[in-house]
Amino acid sequence: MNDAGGKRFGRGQVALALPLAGLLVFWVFVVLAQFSSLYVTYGANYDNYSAQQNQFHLDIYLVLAGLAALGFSAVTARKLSQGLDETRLARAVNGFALVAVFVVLIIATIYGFGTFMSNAFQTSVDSNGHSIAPNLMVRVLNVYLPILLDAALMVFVILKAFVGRATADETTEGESANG
Amino acid sequence: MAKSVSATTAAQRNLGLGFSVPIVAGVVALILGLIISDATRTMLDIWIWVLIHLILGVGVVLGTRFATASFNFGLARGSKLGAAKGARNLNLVLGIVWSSIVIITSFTKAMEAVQRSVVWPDSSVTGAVKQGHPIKPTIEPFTSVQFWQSFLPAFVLLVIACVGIFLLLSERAREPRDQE
Repeated sequence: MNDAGGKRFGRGQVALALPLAGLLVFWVFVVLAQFSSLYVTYGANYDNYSAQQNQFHLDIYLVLAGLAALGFSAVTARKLSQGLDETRLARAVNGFALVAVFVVLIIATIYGFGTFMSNAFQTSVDSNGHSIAPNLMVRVLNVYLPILLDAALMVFVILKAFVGRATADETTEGESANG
Repeated sequence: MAKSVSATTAAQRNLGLGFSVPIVAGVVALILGLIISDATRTMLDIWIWVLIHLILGVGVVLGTRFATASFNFGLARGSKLGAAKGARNLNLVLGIVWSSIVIITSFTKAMEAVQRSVVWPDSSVTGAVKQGHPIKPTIEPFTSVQFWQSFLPAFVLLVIACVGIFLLLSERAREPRDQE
C-alpha cells in the first residue's frame, strides 16, 4: 500500500468514526437536557404549570446543541467520504454517512413537531380558571426560536449533505467531458 | 496443491464460523445472564447487561470477520459466493439489530438514571396531603455513586455500540489480500 492509499484508508476510518463520535456527544447533551428539565418540572415551580411555562427551558437548547453536533459530524463524514477511492470501505463509509444524515433529519423533525405540539395548544389558567397570557419573551425563547433553529439545522444538513455533493459531481462530469 | 487444499479448508472453516459464531455468542450471553440471575436471585444489574451486550457485539464482529474472509477467498477463486454472501448478510442484519438495541438501551438507562435523582418523601409525610399541602419531591445532588452505578454503564453501552459499529463496517469492508 503506497502513502496515498494509506492516507486515504486513514481518512475513510475517520469518516466512519465521525458520526459515532457525534452520537456520543448527542448522548451527553441529552442527559444534560434531562437534568435541566428536572429543575423546571420538580424545582421551585413544582405543580405550577403556568409558572413553569414562564420559565426559560434550557433543556430545549441542550438537545438542539446535541443534534447540531450529530448533524455536523454526519455531513463532515459525508464530505470526507466523497474524496475516497472506490473501495469497499468507501462504499461502506458513504452508506453509513448517508444513514447518519437521515437519522439526524428524522430526529430533528420529531424534535420540531414535538416542540410545536407540546406548546401550541397549551394554555395556563389562574386559580379562578381564567386563561393567563404567557410571557412573550419567554414564549419566543422556549417555542419559536427553537423551532426556527431546528429548521435552520435541517436545511443546513440537507444542503451540505446533498446539494454540495451534487454540485461536485456535476463539476467532475463536466471536466471529464471537456477532457 | 497442499497449499490450495489448506486454503480451501480454511475458507470453509471461516464460512462455518461466520454462520455460527454470532449464534454461539448469543447463547453464551443468554446463559451467562441466566446463571447470574439464578445465582443472585435478583434482576440483572446494568453492568451484567453491559457484559451481555459486549459478548453479543464481539460475536457479531468476529462473525463478520470470518464471513468476509470466506467471501474474499471465494471472490479471488471465482467460486460461487451464495453461502458466503449469506453469512455476511446474516452478520450485517444481526449487527444492525444489535447496535440499535444497545443504543436505545443506553439512552433509556441514562434517562432512568436521571429520573432516579427525583426523590419523593416517604409515606409518613404524605399525611400532609390531607391538610391541603401538595407533596413536593426533592432533586438529589449528583453523586459519584450515581455516576458509577447508573451513568457510566449507560455511557459504556453506547461506547460498545459505537466501537461495534465501527469494527463491523471495517471488517465487512476488508478487501481481498492481494488488493490490500
